[in-house]
Amino acid sequence: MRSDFADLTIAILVIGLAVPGCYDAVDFRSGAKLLPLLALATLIGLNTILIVKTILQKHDVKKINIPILRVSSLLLMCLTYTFLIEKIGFFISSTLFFIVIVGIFDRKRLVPSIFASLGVSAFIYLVFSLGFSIYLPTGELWG
Amino acid sequence: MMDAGDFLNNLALGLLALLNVKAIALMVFGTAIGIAVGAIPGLSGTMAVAVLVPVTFVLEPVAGLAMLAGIYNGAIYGGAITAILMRIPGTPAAVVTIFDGYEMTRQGKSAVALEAAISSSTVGGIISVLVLLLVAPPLVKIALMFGPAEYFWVAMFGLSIVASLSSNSMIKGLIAGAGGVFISVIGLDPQTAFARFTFDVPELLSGFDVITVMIGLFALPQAFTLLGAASGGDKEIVKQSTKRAPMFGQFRKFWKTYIRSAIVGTIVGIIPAAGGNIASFVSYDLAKRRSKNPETFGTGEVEGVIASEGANNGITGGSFVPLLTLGIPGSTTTAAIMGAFMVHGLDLGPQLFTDNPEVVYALIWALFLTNIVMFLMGYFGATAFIRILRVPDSLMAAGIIVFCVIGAFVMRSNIFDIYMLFAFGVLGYIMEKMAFPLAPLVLGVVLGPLIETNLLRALTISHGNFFALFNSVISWIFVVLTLLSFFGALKRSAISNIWQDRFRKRNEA
Repeated sequence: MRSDFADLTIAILVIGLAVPGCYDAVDFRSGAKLLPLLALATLIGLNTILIVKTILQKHDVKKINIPILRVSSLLLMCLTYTFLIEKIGFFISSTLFFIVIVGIFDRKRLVPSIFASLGVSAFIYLVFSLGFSIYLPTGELWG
Repeated sequence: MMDAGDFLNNLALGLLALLNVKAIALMVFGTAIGIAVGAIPGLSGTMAVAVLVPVTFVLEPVAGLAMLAGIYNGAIYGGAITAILMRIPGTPAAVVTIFDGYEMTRQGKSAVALEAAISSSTVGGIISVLVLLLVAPPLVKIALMFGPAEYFWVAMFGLSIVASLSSNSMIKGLIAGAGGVFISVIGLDPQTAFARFTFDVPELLSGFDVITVMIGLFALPQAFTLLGAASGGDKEIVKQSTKRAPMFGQFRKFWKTYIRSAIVGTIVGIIPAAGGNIASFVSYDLAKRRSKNPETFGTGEVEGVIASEGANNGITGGSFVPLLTLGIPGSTTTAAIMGAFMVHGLDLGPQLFTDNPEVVYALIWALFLTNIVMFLMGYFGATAFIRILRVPDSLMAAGIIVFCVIGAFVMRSNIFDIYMLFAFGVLGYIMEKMAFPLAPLVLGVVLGPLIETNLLRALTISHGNFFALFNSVISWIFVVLTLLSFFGALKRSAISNIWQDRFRKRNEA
């Protein structure tokens, strides 16, 4: 994606969200609306400047490279991981998460990685849960 | 001003609070983590601090802050290891170390370069802590005279740092800063508990947790980037010699450079948002100008490594001056450390010195002692830290994500925060790719509540009179400082670019 196109898209998106935000904020109680209105008005003003600057400065165009497939699949895995934490608990879901990530992104070392994943998950769980006495979810499924 | 008796008493209180097995173990642990993270290109000390801030929630404040002090010191030094051995700056501040450090490695003198790096980092760190100790208490006396209007301007001054943190694109930095302030207003307003932009989601009533925002923005994009580039191949690690030089002889020969670089780093550290890389550039140039053999710089001159590393570790103590005395985070790492104070309900600023002197002075002691720990680790095991680079990117990234999840969950024991963590992670990743700086966004989130609370308080006291914000000399001083900081950032950024261009050209030559 071209950087100028990306900047324009973001600026228009932010203005598109900030304008209705301003309408909402006007109805807030007097003290509660001061900073939100200031912040939103600043966002609208600055993004307008960004649009004008991007249109005028065409020579400074770069290519933005985002591995969309990798990042979106990673995000999907992260969301699934979060869902599983709630259902089956931190330890099992973290172990599965490690195995899946290493399995997908580093296939060469799959078998040792499975053992490494188990070890790392157990280590993290023991350190945080027992060492620091931090409560980590145990999972709804196990009561 | 605080009398000598109080000062010594507070120093003793701080040391006593720190001298227990748990705090000492955490200092050592934090320093080791810091060096390891600093040595890994792409991972930053800010990330390590952000991820481990929630852990301090279950620790005593002193023990938690001691660990974070170790991470901060260690991470800045750790950047030198890969800069010297692999020509990869582990941190941006270590760029200048490459000029001579890597040349020394090519000449088979990597052990001498590493030794110079750890000795100058330690001297820089210790001198900066001593300056912090001498400068902070007198500043606190002045800060005690501040009311809501003055604090509003202090926070505005802090926010003006956004301009300095946006050297590549001022407009994008300002957008990020305003976005951060907007994120901070989501939830109940501090005065009337009016729900703002919560869309009937009960979890949003208490707003976004600052720590979750910080972890999401600073740590997750690094994990995404590691996985985006993960090839699954074996990494090439360069073998190094272990031949050392007599350290005290080196110190005797270059003592002026050791001291000067530490002072340069400390002064730059006190200036909010100036950063370690600027300190290194300035210190390196000064060392070169004053050297009898300036032509040797860039060809493997050990004095170049000393100048660069002394300065970038010199910023550590200096950057705590505005944080502890005024509550302004002068760098992204101190913004993350600010989170640890928030976690324990400790208000930064002069009241911290009066209400919790043992915490402040224990932190200063921890900054001092972790320099010693860092020296021992760096002197005896610098090359061992390079082994961490053998950990596959995928395993490293998965580990970072799991740590982030723990960090986000532990603050409020709420799964919703983990979803928000990933939302901010994606936001941070996209912002990084689109050259929007992340630090201004975090600064906006951190300073937004401070600005709003003090603005509303000042207006309430003055029955809505806006001119009450300009009633005192202190307010005017901070108005001027805010304007100078904001408009001076443009000039500073231009000067910084000139320094960097000059070095690049010389290095190429």
